[in-house]
Amino acid sequence: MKYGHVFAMASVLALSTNAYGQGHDTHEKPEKVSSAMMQETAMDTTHHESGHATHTQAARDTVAERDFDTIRAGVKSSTTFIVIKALALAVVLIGLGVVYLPRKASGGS
Amino acid sequence: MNRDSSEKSWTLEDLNYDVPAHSLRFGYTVGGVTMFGLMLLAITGIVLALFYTPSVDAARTSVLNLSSAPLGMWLRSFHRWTAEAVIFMVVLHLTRVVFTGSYRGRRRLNWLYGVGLLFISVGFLFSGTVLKWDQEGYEAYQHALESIALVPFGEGVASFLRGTTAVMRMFTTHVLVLPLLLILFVVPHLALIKLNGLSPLPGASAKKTTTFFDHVRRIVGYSAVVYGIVALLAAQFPAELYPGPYAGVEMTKPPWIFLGLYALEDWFGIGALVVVPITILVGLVLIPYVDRQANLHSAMRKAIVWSYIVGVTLMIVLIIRVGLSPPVRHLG
Repeated sequence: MKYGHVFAMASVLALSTNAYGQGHDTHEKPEKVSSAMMQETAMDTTHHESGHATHTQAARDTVAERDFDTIRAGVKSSTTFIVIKALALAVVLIGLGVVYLPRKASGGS
Repeated sequence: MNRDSSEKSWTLEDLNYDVPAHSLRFGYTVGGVTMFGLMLLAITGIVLALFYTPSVDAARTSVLNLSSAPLGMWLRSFHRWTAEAVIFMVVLHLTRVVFTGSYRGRRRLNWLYGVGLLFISVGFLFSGTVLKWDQEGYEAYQHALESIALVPFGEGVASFLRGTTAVMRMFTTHVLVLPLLLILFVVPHLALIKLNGLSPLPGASAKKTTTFFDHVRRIVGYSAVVYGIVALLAAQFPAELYPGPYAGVEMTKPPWIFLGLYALEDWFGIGALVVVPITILVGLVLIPYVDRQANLHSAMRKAIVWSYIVGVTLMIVLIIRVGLSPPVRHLG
């Protein structure tokens, strides 16, 4: 690692500087992006004055957005994920075996 | 009766030719590990495409529906994590080539194909991010449109990409245009490695050899380690799906490879998204034309290596800074 110290110093410098990008004020009301809105955007190239998400759409989205975190928490503790983790660990160990375990020479010099 | 050698059938053993012994080192297998990752992305991408609806109104919902099944959630996460790992591997491969000076002489053309592959890989990551069509994807798309509009004739291209077909066009780019470009660059890249031979390791004996099958076996071994860890990460930290998308707000940050650009955009405006990638592209393309001497210890070569180190270090610094900071608004 001839140049390792350079990267290490740069990383320390980066971490010691002030927090980056403080201000991100948003004064405009967020508007749900729909195909109708995208159509208007394509015509006038501004996307801040339009937005026609229906109440039904908004309600469905609200449920869907809340659902993702619930879904993620659910699947993370599922049997499928436990099996996947075990298989992945086995693949890592097999790979380490292929790389580091000595094997009979198959040719070359 | 002796048979002419041209009548002999090809066997698998014919591929088992001798290659330099240093082909077993990790640095000389990174390209192969990257290739392995691209194959995994193609396979998982085909499965994901079967469940995806490429439209503005339904894209995010289809991703959400896929994520409702544990295997679907993991598959999407694995695809995302593998994409990021492949970009990391491409950068590692590029770094090894710079440090060993393997871009000179007859390998110059292959360097250019490699630079092209770097940008194609980044294009895959960008378009894949947009396809989710959540807040992150929408913001990424808006940034791309605004920056494309800055280049000559870019406004026309941006107009073409706006509208209700935005997601469909990104999907076509992701599954047809970029894969075609990838094939057009990967095939000659691999062919030139075969033609020129594996690049030398400075200071290593050229006489010491191993076999191509051992080289491939090592690539498979390292790939199993790398993508096994990626599979674990995908299960432990499933890929995010943000709400929305909503116009008029910016509340996400892009994938790690774009974080350096994100910082420069904050300092220099949206134009940085055009100027910086072009500068990086031109800089990388020029390297084999600037450093043409065979001497590995020449002053020019040292200048190239140190310029590369400074450039990569600067990007790492910016990536860490932005990674630790809250999102900033750039558009509108």
